[in-house]
Order: sequence, then structure tokens, then C-alpha cells
Amino acid sequence: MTVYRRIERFADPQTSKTPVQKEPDPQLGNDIIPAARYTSSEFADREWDRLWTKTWLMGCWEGDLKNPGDYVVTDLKGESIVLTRDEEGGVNAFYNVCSHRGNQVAYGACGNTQTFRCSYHLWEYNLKGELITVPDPETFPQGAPCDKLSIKRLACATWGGFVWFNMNPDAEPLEEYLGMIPEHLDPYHFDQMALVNDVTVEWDCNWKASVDAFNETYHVIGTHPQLLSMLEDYDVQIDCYERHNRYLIPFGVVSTHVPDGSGISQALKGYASMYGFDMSNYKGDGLGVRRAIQKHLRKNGKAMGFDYSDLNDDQLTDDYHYMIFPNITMNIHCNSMMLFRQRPHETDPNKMYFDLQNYAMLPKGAEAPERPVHRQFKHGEDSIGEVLDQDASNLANVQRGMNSRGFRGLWISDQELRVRHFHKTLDDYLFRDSIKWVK
Amino acid sequence: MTRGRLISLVPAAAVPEGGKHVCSAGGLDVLLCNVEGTIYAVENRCSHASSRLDAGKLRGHTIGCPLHGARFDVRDGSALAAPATKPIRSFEVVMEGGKISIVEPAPQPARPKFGPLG
Repeated sequence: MTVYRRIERFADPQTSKTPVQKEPDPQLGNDIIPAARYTSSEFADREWDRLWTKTWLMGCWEGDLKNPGDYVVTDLKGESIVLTRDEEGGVNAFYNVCSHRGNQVAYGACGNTQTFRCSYHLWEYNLKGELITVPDPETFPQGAPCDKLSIKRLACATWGGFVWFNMNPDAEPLEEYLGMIPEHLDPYHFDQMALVNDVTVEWDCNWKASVDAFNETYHVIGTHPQLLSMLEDYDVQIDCYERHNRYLIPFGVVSTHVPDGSGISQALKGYASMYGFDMSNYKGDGLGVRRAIQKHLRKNGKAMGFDYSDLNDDQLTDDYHYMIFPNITMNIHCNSMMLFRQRPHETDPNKMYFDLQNYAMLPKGAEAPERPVHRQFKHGEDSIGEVLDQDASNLANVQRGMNSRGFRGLWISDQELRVRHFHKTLDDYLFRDSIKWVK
Repeated sequence: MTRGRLISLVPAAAVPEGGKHVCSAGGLDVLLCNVEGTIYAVENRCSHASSRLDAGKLRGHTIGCPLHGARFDVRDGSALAAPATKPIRSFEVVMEGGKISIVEPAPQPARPKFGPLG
């Protein structure tokens, strides 16, 4: 067995606002994870009935609902949901469907409006989805009462600069669902970050294959060897919580998979320069760059316009990588956050929508950039960056393998504990009939 | 059209027929390949997973990536075999005074960078 060197942690568990202590690993066994859950329409139907329509889901960036009348339309499988900011400052979610004949009431991905007027017969709704006008109401002998024919509303709440919704009428409060997440992530102040990139890529794989890919660093040696000179992929702390999980990836250091960690690659230099750290005065080796960047940011962060007072030293360099069940992946750094939202395809379990959003913390006084225009394309038509392109190129083949009669199922290592934890949590939703929301 | 300046690399003897040689030019890792007496220069970096190509096998005009088996044509950098789908950069080679030079490549358009991973 290879014994690798360890990566030192500098976060003080006593003072760190984001808890850093290692959680005891859950005992989830070593069973094969069956491939059918990635390919079967029956399984996807069960997910729809028991997962997607029962859990809290991220709807949009709250920055897109800044002003009264702002709205966003978000799609999930066949469902379309409207998220709005009303005149009283509240957020609302309702189904994008007119109570009259089923037409959609909101068009386009986002916009600003005072009311939603159905283009079919001009039934009109306010920003809360309440019906306010019906043309020729006297021709409905059964009545067309505005108070009874409002659009069905969904639970809706905000956290972390995002708007969340839940189709389950008996949903627990968002706060309860998120559990430890706000305590862990509020120190990053996502609500002060700006959206700088917004892309949806259609991938030829099941949505869970994408979640899995980002829930382990075991694939870095094979898929992203260029990263071995600038991040640690083996000595990674994994923590599983009730339904969410995380790992803490040291960045700015040569991987322990590289026997001689003293070298300083261009990638490592590039990483340091992202934080304004001048490598020309650096006298140490590749193993010390991470700590040097941490000290540099602690000393100079304020002068550079950043407030790192709520973050521990490791958070200044490392990727605190969180998965908010079921479909949100966050790569979190002190100045940026890369968010993936993994959505299932409408009908085909072999396809999915990969929403990529990049957020940046702006230095104090900097003007917020214009909101980027959302782009959507199929994998291969455009690049979303070298690392994610590498992941995507694997996943289409992985999905083909899931459909192979020769594939036994997923054979999971300890390094992939988050994968197993994710599937166990999913099973809790899909197969545990005693939980309260199952009708 | 004006040609970019020449970057002198190594003596021609450093790359014997059928051989490869890696050198650094303008911040790039350049792989020189000698195929039947002609020198070709490509970026020493696979377009799939960024692995170095110099440890791969040179067969005819084809260089193979040792990591995942992608193959490229050293004459123009084009991708010949999966998993690579994008070409690698190739550089114009000039032989002068027994030395191998390449024409300084035009800077590549920078992609916006949003964070450490892309």
C-alpha cells in the first residue's frame, strides 16, 4: 500500500465559523450500486413522484429577482415554474399554467412585469399567481371566481442569495431542510457575490452520473492529470451529514500523488496569481505555496478590497465543496463559487441538463458587472472550460456503460463515500415509505 | 503577410530521424518530432486531459497520448483518435544554420476565467 504524505490543515476548529471537524463516516456498506437507476424510466418516474416533487430545489439566483415584478421561469422535467418578486418584497413560486385551459402564462426565461396575462383568452394574474381578471365572466355559469381560480402556489423561500421552491404542499421549512448548510456556508456571503457566467449544457447522461462525478476526487488522476500540480486529490476530508455532504480539497499545493512535490508548475503559479500573490519573491517549494497564499491573503486581503474575517485560513485557498441534496454542487473558494445544478431530462433518463453558474466576490467599491446572458447548447458545441469539458467527455461514455449488459454496477471506494451517501439519501426518499410526506 | 519572429530551439542533431525532443518556447512546451527527416513541432499537451505527449509513441506522422490513447497528426495537430476531439497546436518550423526554430505563435484568445477550475 502506498503511503502518501499528509496535507497540513491550518483552520482552527475552535475559532472557525464554518465547522471543520471531521464527521464520523456513516457505515453504508460496500454493495454494488445498480446501474438500472441511471437508465430506467420506471426509476426516473419514481424519482419524480418521490424526490423532485417532494424536496426543496434551487430555483434561481436571487439577484434575478431584485425588483418588484422581476420573474424567472425554471423548468424541471415537464413542469414549468414561475418565481417572482412581488410589490411587498416577498418571493413567490407558482406553476406556469393558466387555470382556464392550461396555457402557460409566463414566457421566456426571465423578465419584469406587473401581471401575467395568458395569451390565449387573456386571463390575468398578479405577481403572486392570483387571478385578477377574467374576460366575459358572465359566460361561466359555474362562475369564474378570482379567489378560487388562482394558480397553484408552491412553497418558496430564500437562502444564500438563491430562491428555492418545493412542490410538496406539506414541505418542511427550507431552513429545516437545509440543516447544517447555512451555518457552514453563510461565512462566504454568497449573497454579496455577482453572477458572472450562466450556461446550460445538454449532457448525454443521467443527472445522477453528473452528481456522482463531482462527489469524488478519485477521478482527478485519470481525468484531470493537469490539476495534480495544483491541488490535493487524495488527502481530502469527506463529511456526510443527514442528507447533504461535503469534502474539503486543499488547493495551491502539489498532489500527494506526485512523488516529488517540490516543483512549481505554471498551473500552481497561475493559481497563486489569481490571488495577487507574487511568486517571484517566493523562496519555498511546491508544498509551501498554499500556506504562503493563505498568509498573503490574511495580510493583504483588506487592502485588496476583500473581507476574509469570517473565513478560516484553509478557506482562503481550498475548495470547500458542498453537495446540497439532491442536485446542487458547489465549488466554494474565498473569492468565487462555481455552482452546478443538475436537472433531469423531460423524458429520457439517458440525458440531463447541466446548469453551470459562476459567482465572483467583487472587491469593495467595484461596480457589479452586467448580468451575463444565459447560453444553452449541447456538449461538444462549445467549451465550458477545460476541466468541465474533460468531465463531460467521460460522462457520455459512462452512460453508455450503464446501459451495457456487461456492467455489474458501481464498485465504490472509500474515496467515493459521498457517492454512496448520495445514493443512500436518494433511497431514503424513494423507498422508505414511512416518511411523512409520502402520500 | 509578416511572419512572427523566429524562436531558436535546438540543433537539428538533437532530433534524430524517428525521434522526439521536448523544449520550451515562449512559455509553451513544444514537442519536436523528426519524421523521415522532416521536423514537425506541436504543443506537448494532449487536448483531452492535458497529459504530456512526449512519453507517447511516434508512429509515422502520428503521436499517441500515453494516458488515454488519443492520437494526433504531428503535421497539423489534428485529432485522429478518441478520446481527443480537439486538435493540439502546431507550429511552423524553420531550419536555419543547422538549428531548429519555430515561428512565434500568435497569442491565443484568452477565455474568461471565473475561478480556479474554469
